[in-house]
Amino acid sequence: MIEILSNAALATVQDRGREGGLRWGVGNSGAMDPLALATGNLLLGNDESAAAIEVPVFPFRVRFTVDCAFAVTGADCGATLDERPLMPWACYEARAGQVLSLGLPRAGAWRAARAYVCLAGGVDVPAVLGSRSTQLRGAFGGLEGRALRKGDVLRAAAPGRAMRRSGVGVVPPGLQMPLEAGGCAAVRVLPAAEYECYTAASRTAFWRTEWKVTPQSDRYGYRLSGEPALQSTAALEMRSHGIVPGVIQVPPSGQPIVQMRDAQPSGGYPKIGTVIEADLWRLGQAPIGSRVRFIEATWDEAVSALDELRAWLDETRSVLDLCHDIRHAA
Amino acid sequence: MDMPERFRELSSWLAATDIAWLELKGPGTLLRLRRGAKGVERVAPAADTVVAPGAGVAEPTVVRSPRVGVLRHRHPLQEAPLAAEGQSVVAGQALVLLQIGPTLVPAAAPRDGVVARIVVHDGEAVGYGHPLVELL
Amino acid sequence: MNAAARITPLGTTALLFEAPGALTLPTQQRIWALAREAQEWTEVREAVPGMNNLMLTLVGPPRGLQALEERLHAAWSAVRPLGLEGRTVVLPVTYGGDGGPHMADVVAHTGLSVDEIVELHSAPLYTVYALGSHPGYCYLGGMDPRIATPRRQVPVMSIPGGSVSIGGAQTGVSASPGPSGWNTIGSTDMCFFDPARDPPALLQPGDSIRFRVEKVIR
Repeated sequence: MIEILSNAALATVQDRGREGGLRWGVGNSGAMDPLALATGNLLLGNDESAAAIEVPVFPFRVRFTVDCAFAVTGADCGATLDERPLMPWACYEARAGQVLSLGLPRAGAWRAARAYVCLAGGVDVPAVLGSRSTQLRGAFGGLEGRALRKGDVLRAAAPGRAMRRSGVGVVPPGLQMPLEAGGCAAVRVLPAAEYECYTAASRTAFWRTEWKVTPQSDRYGYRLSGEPALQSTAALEMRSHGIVPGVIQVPPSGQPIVQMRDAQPSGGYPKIGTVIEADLWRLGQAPIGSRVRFIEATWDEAVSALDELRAWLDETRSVLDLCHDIRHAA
Repeated sequence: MDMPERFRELSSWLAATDIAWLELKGPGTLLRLRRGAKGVERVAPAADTVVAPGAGVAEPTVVRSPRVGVLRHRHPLQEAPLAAEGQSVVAGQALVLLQIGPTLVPAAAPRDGVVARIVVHDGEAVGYGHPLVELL
Repeated sequence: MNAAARITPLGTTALLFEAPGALTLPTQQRIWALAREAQEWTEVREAVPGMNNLMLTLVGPPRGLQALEERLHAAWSAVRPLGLEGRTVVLPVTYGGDGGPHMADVVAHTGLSVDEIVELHSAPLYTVYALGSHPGYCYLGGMDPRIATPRRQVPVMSIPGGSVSIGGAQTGVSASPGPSGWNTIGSTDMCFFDPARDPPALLQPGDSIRFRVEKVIR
């Protein structure tokens, strides 16, 4: 059991996401950085897709009310357990009464915006429509379909489970699989249906601009700003159609919006491209005020990128399996 | 597990590696093994040596590697080293990290003390039991 | 049917199939039929109708798209309109008042009176073309073009669930509180989505909605 001590603005319970609900207008939700979620779970010996707490605003503090193993992945936020510093992207055992504190994300070798607090067995909330992710619009899933508040108590599914390892960490994937274009963080994009409807100058600008992640960016969508505004060659009349996280819409302002995990599952704006599924975790960790570039990818490259992520997780799991009976307290 | 059995187990393990020296310290016990031309042998008195913790120890405690790996002075995400020479540390505090593939395991201070010397360079590969840090 | 349907990727997660031509009910009925067929394919996680289009989310991206695209085109050519004999749900609506804060804007744009707008809005039997936007929300076809009103310049931060709104040439009812750029002219109490129900959504493509005038607040 853990008790939330902070006001916890915008922190939500998320797992890999909800599938199969599009027929009812239910989108994916799920972790903005599914790789950090999966790695935290691997460190604890959980199912990769077990639910965790996604923390986008800091500081964030919780108290363990029972002995429980945990891991903190995602942003390096100077995590401490009863004031003793923890290694980022590592698992530890907490004793009942200990307080886990996450501070502001540090500007280190890899900048990230969100941290994940994973618990032994995963966060134990009821699964709704097959997932424990929080569906904010409609208020279901996660903890009562809402963001966490001070005083909330969350259960771990297996707090008493014997841990094979503690104090063991993983080198973050952001360092192992970096992606940059011209010194700027980058994500790969497949052109979408309306790509050809943009002027040649706009298409060039789309790939060249260092798009800034504006403060109006969140789980619903990342509003980007850059010059020049993207222009279509003719007025585009769009019918409502299904979309997925990663779709880059261009509203009349010409400033693109990347649909993220809580986006509506359908839209009516023109789409210039889609961030590939394998790079959504990179964008999900891009801090407000940071810049990102788009790299044009082919279908084959996008599929290979998914294979690369799968291979990274499999290798991490294999090497972690060799780290048993290593116990290092915080 | 009694000492003769522990000795046999460690000897056969040691013989299969290319590690030449193994020192195993426990509460009140110390076992030293050396692998030489004639095989693995015990070093120092036949009777197990009782070591009084901290009692008039003039020489520093050597913190040894808990595993095979590549030594890291700092976590890859951070700039500051985990421990610097002259720094006071507490029991259990991580001093350096050992990396295998993507995993990182700390070598921790066995007691409170001051870091006298970090013996191994950043990026060097070490074996199990290799001296890493000298602690005063 | 001269123009070909268009298939484009949405990343590696989904394909978007767009039927050519004007937005019509017979085309939508063919989309429903295509969805029903494609839902059975092993590569497809979900076949999700939109307004004369269909999104196929993929179980895992195939190595090459060509085979799947060809199969989709072939299925579209062969498919016959699915005349879904759905249910008709009657929604009692209170038009105007606090639940219809933008009725005045629709009056101003159309030049019609509140009563005329209410009559034109409640007369048709609307077809549920598709679900999307948020849990339980239905895209409806059949609104009278005389009451079409452009989307608002500044969207409203939050309108309550059950809000009956007009956006351009379309009308819809929100199923839960949330932001909206449409013009809200009334409200209804119906529950459109309950995750504990099976199925959780009240309506599905092929069903119909009739708005019944419960009350008009001028």
